[in-house]
Amino acid sequence: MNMLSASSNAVLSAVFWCAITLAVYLASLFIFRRLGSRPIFHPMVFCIAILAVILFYTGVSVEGYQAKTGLLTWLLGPATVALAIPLYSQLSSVKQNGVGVLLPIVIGGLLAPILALLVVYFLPMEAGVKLSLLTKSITTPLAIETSQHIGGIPGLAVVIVIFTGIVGAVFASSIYRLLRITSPQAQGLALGTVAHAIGTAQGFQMSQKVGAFATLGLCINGVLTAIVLPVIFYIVS
Amino acid sequence: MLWLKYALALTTLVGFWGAGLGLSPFIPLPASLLGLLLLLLGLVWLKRIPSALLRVSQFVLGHMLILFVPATMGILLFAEKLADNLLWLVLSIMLSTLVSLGVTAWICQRQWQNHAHANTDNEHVKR
Repeated sequence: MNMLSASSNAVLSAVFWCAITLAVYLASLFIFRRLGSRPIFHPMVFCIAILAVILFYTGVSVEGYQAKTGLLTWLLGPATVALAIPLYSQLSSVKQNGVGVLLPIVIGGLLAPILALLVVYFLPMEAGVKLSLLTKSITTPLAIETSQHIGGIPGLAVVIVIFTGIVGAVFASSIYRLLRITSPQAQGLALGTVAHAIGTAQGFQMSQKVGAFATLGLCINGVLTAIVLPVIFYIVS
Repeated sequence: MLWLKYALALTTLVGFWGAGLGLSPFIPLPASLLGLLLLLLGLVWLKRIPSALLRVSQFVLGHMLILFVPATMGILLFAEKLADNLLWLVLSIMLSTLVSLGVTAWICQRQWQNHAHANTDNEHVKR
């Protein structure tokens, strides 16, 4: 009887914290739209700030919160599968422009982790921290598993991935204006390649076409990085 | 009736993810990636996107951000642990992200422009 009530309590608090997360997300979205949908006020920034305050006042640790909202993180798996649908609708344009699509993705996919590693290479840091930078541009579910393979710290890898995504989503439109990138294909492909699913979500905000090409970049770079990185580390070690 | 279709579409996504999970011991790739590739193969075989699946996937992908919220809160955990090197890590991530975003988009735009020119040239030749 005691065990039953303990487990129903756990379910109740899981439902409670998922509901809080949903409410905070909707509130952040509302604030974001109220402030004129400027990328600098990305909903994720408000989510972190509001939830940090809530966690502080309720005395719940970040680990405890993550354990209670495990359902949301688990749903990332099926949501990643859903990317097959926009990818399928862009298959014909991949066939038509094979190299035009693949070349920028491969260059972007190589450049992002190499540049990140170069900046911190000579600093006195744990190797695990540096290795966690290598999966920075691929989507969270892929990054966790790939980081495990190459000796990074999965928890840190996720944080780096998400920070990368937010930076990409926030600054993309300014960079595009600066470099006069007007084609939706180029805008989307770069966002998806460099800033994965968070960049892709930003892409869908810009237009369906930008979002579809972002999906393309996200998928191809994710697949390539998830395959290539473990192979390189296997050869080196 | 429409709700039943949407529920079925959602089950399809979870089902393909499960299939990817089942395959992952045999193919050393992340489960969600395997599920994605399986569903892509299924769509290629079907040659069309079922309308309910399209609606559900648009909804899920449009609000995917909320699924990242719990993982994002991990930022608070690592901010303390990495205090010494935090500035360098932030600098490294911001610099590499912004530069590669610009370079990737620039190369892609050039590629597509060249391709578009080549295509129109070809059409001129045909005529």
